[in-house]
Amino acid sequence: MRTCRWILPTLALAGALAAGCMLISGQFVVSFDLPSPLTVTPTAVTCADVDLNTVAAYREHADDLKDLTDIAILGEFTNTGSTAVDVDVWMTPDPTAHTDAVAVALDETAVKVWGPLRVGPGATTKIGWDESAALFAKGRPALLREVMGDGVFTLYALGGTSSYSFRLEHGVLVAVITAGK
Amino acid sequence: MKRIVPILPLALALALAGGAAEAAGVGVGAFGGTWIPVAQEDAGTGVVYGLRLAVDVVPLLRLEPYWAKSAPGDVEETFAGLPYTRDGGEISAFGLNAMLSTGGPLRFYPFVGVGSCRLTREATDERTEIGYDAGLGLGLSPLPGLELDLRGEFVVIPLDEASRKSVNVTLGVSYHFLNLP
Repeated sequence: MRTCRWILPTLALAGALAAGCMLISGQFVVSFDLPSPLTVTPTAVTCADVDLNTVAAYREHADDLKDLTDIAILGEFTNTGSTAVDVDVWMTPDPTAHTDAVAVALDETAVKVWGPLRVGPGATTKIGWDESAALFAKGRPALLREVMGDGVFTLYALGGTSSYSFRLEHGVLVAVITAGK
Repeated sequence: MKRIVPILPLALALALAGGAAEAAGVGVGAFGGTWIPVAQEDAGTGVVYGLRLAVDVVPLLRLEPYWAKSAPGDVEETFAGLPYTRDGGEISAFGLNAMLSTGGPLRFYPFVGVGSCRLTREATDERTEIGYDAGLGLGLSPLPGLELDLRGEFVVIPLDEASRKSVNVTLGVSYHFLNLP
């Protein structure tokens, strides 16, 4: 009986202590609309300036951010060229305004964060949320720093070759942030 | 996983030491119900099911090793006018619950527990963490040896400085095939 009296409260207390302030936390979806349409060729790229502070869900939790749980770029990619294109997304941590692919590549702060997404000539691909999240595998740490930082950065969609032409319509950056007090 | 290993034999040893000469019993059961996310915008309501072993080793105390699988629902959202679906993932858990165990055809009991939880989701790194649960149950014994349970439990899985939280509402049935004086 004595064991019985103590084991339940002890286990409950251990659980509560282990959980601690983690009880006051949650996962929140933050979406940021990208310029649409975003038309891209090697000599004419359009930057997407991202300021997550303009999104209410991010602003409300900006001081309590713990992690970037999930991230994806969604939208419809249309290959307007005559050969297949592998679309990558690059990021510069600070706002930039490069106008061609070479300038992005020469920017020492630029990091490839997403891709490649192959789109056949003339094809339109609406990327799925799961599929897009998987394409962030290597770029997640760089974006994590920005999301956990000031939330301001610039994205560029580029093709993987010297000749390509595509556009992104209904583009959205979707992040799931974890916040807690 | 490693952290939970010492807990199981310790809890069993405590219980056995306190009631070796008392009533004992063993039962096996299954349960299923609804998994409800708490403060998780990246998961929908899903299902939970599993198996459990009821071990009465001390009067008023029941230990219950369990295995459970939760399938949080997919998230469906519309971004920039297009619909998207994100996989809700899966949580596999095994652990131990401890609860007050009173006799009679109708019983109302609190319980607490701890377990190892493996979280998986498409395009997300797999994680294994210790989770904690606490809840209330209502037990009914319509026939000797047979028990029906309705339970509500709050589950917390700490993740670094935050957590995943859910409420499980389950119905279970168990058969007690071994009752020793």
